[in-house]
Amino acid sequence: MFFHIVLERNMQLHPRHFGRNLREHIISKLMKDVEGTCSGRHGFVVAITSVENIGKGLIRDGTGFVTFPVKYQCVVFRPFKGEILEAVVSMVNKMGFFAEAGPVQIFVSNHLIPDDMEFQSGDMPNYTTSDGSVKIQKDSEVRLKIIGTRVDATEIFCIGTIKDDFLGVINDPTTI
Amino acid sequence: MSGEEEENAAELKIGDEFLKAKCLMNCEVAIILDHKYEQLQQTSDDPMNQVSQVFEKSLQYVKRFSRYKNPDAVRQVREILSRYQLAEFELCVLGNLCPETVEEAIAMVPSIKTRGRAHDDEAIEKMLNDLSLIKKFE
Amino acid sequence: MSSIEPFNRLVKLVARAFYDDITTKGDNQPKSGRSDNRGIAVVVLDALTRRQWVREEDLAKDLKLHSKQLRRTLRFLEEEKLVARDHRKETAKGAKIYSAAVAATADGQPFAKEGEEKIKLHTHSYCSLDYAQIYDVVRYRIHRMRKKLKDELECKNTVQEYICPNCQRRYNALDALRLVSLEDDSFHCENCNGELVAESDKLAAQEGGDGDDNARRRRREKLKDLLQKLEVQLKPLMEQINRVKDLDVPEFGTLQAWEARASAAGRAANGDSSSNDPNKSSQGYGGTPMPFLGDTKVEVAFSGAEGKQVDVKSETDSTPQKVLPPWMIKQGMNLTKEQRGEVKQESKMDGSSATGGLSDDKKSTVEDDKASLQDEYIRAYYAALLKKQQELDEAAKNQQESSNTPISDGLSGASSNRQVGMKSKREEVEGDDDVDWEEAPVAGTTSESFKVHDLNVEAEASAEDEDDIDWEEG
Repeated sequence: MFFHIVLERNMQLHPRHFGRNLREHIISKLMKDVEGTCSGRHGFVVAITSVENIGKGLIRDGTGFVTFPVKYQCVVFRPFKGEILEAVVSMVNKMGFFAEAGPVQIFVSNHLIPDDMEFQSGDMPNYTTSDGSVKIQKDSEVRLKIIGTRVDATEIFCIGTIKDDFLGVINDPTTI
Repeated sequence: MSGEEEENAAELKIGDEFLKAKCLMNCEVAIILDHKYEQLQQTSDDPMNQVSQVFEKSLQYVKRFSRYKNPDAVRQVREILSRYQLAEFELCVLGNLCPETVEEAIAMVPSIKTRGRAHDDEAIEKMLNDLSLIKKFE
Repeated sequence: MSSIEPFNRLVKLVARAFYDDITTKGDNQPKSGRSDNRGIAVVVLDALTRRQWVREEDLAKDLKLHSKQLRRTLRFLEEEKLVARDHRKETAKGAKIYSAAVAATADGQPFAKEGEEKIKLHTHSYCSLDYAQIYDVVRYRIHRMRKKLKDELECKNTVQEYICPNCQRRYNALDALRLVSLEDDSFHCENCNGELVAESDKLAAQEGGDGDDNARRRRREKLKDLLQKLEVQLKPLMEQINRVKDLDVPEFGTLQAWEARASAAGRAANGDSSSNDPNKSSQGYGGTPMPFLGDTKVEVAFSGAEGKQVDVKSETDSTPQKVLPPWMIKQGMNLTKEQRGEVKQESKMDGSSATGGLSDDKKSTVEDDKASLQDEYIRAYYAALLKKQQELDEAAKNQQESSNTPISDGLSGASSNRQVGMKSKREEVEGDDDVDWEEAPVAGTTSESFKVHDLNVEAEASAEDEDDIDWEEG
C-alpha cells in the first residue's frame, strides 16, 4: 500500500552551500539521499512531495559541517502481511512464480497456487488449469495476498498466495 | 492468547504509525507521480535518468493498476468511500481492487466485518454500487 | 507462599513435556550409553523447585553433578528463559551473606562465625527459577505450537520450506530470490548448488504417494492427528496453567534483594534472640542497613517451626483433593519422627524434602488414578528406601544437631562435620529419585509430546521422530 507520510531527517551540509540557495541545496540533497531508498520500517520511499520544515542548523564540533533537521512529506510503498494487492508476473518456473507490485518483488510458491493449475514448461512457462481457461505466465496480472515479508537494510521481499477466494488471475477485460 | 503482536493487514494490524497515516490509492499515487515527473521534464532533458528505480517501477505500477484515470473521478471515489467510516487503509484497498460483490469486498477487506463495526451487507452493497457508478460515468 | 506449589507443579510438568530429551552434549559426541545425559534438565528443574536462589556449586554438589555439566544445563535453561542467574565476584564475607540467607530460609541457626576475611575475590554463580517468566514462556510456546499446526492445517500462511538433499541446508520461500538459477527452473543451494526439494514433496515421496491429491489428504490427516495429540498430551499442562492464572506469581526478586529479605525474615522468625545475630544483622554489602528490615513477611519456604509444618499439612488434608497417598505418609512420618525426637528446628535438608513431599502429594492427587497404578511399585521401592534410611538414621541421630547448619558447614570448610554433610546430601539425592519415580506417570503421558515440541525448535530428534517433524514442517 502507498502512504503519504511525514518523515524527518538530519541533513549535513558543507559550508560551501551556504547562501541564498541554501534551501534548494538542502532539498535537492534530501531527494538524492532519500528517494529510492528502502527501510524495513517505512518501506520504499518513492517520492518526496514537499518539505514541511527545515530547522535551525547546528554546527558540528570539529568540522564546519552544519546539521539541519528536515521534515518532509513523501510517498512510500510499504507491503503488509495480510494485504491483498495486484501484481504483474515477472517470472514463472516450476517452483512457483515471481511477481512485482511497484518496487516490491513477491514470490508465490507452487504450493500456494490452486491445486488445479499445473506447471507447463516451454518457451513461455506457465501455470494453466486443465481446461486451459486460466493461465498464469510472464506479464499476467494477478491479485494475490501477501503472507510473509522479509526485510533487510535495502530490500523488502514478500511471499504471497493466490490460493484463496477472489485471488488469482484478474479477469478484468480492460486489463487483458 | 493474544500476546503476539503480529502484523496482519486483514485485521488492520499495520502499526499505529501507518494506521494513522494517510493512505493513497493507486490512482492518487499516479496523479502525484505524474505531476512530479512532469516537473522534472521541464528542468531536465532526460528525466528518466533523474528518478530512482523505485520511482520508475512505482509509476509504471500505479498507471497499470489505476481503476480511475480522471482526477475528478479519483476525488469522487475518495469522497464517497469517506462516508462509510472506513479506515484509510480499508478505503484504499477497496478503491484499488474495486470488488464487485459484497462477498468479494469482505474477502478483500476482512476487517470491515469485524465486530463492533456498523457495516452490514446492505451498506457494503450500497458502497460498491456508488463506486461502480463513478466508473461508469468517468 | 501459598501459590508456590501450583507453580512448582507447572515447572515439573513443563520439564517433562518439553525438556525430557534435552541433552547438553555437543552434536558430535555420541549420545549413547553412559554419556547420555538426557533428562538432566528435568532433574535440575525439579531440584530448583525445592530451592530459591542457590549457589550453583552447592546445587552441583547436591545433585552429584559435575559443576561444568550443571552450568551447561543452567545456561541452556537460562536461554530458555526458565531460570534466572546471577554472577558476582565476592569475598568470603559476601558468600557468608548468602549463607546467612540460606540458613534463614531453612530456619536453621545462622552460622555467623566471622572468620578471617580474605580479600581474594571469587566469581560465584547463583540461579533460581523465574516463575513469572516461565508462565509467560510456556504459554507463548504452546500458542506457537498450536498456531503453526493450525496454519499448516489450513494450508494458509505457510511459508514453503526447501531442503538441499546434498548438504541438508534448509531454506524457505522468503529466500526465493537468492535461490533462482539462470540455467534451469529450480532453486539451487547456495552452499553446494544442489537442486532444492520442497519439503512436502520429499515427504510425499517418502510416503510413496504418487498423486498430488493423495499426498495432500494424507498430510492433512497427519496434521489433524498431530494437533489432536498436542491437545491431549498438553492437557495436564494447560490445566495447570489455568490453575495458576489468577495466583500471585512467586517472586524471589534479584539475588541481593532475596538475600536481604531472607536474612531479615530469618531473624524475625528466630525472634532475634540468638546471640549470633548481631554479627550479621543489618550488614548489607556496604554495611548499610537493608531497607527490607522489619516489614518483610515470611515469604520464605521452610520457615515453619514444627507447628507451622503441621498446619500446612492439616490444611492440605482438609481439602478432599489433597489426600496423602500411603507411601507419602510414610515418608512424612518418618521425617517428623526423626525430627521430633531429636531437635526442635528442622535441618534444611529435612525441611526441604518434607515440603517437597507436600508438593508432590498435591500433584499426585491430581493424577491420583495414575499414581495408584504405580502405587504398588513405589511402595516396594519405598520399603527399600526406608531400610536404607534406617541404616543411616543411626549415624544421623548422633550428629543431627550439627546437621542443622549443613550449608554453613560446607562453606566454612569445617571438616569435622563432613559426615553429616554427606548424609544430608545423600538424602537429597534420594529425594530426587523419589520425585522421579512418582512422576513416572506424568513422564509417561508426556513422553511423546517432545516430538510436538520438536516441531518448533529444531532439536536433534531420534530417527523415529523424523516422520513427525517432516509432516509438520513440510
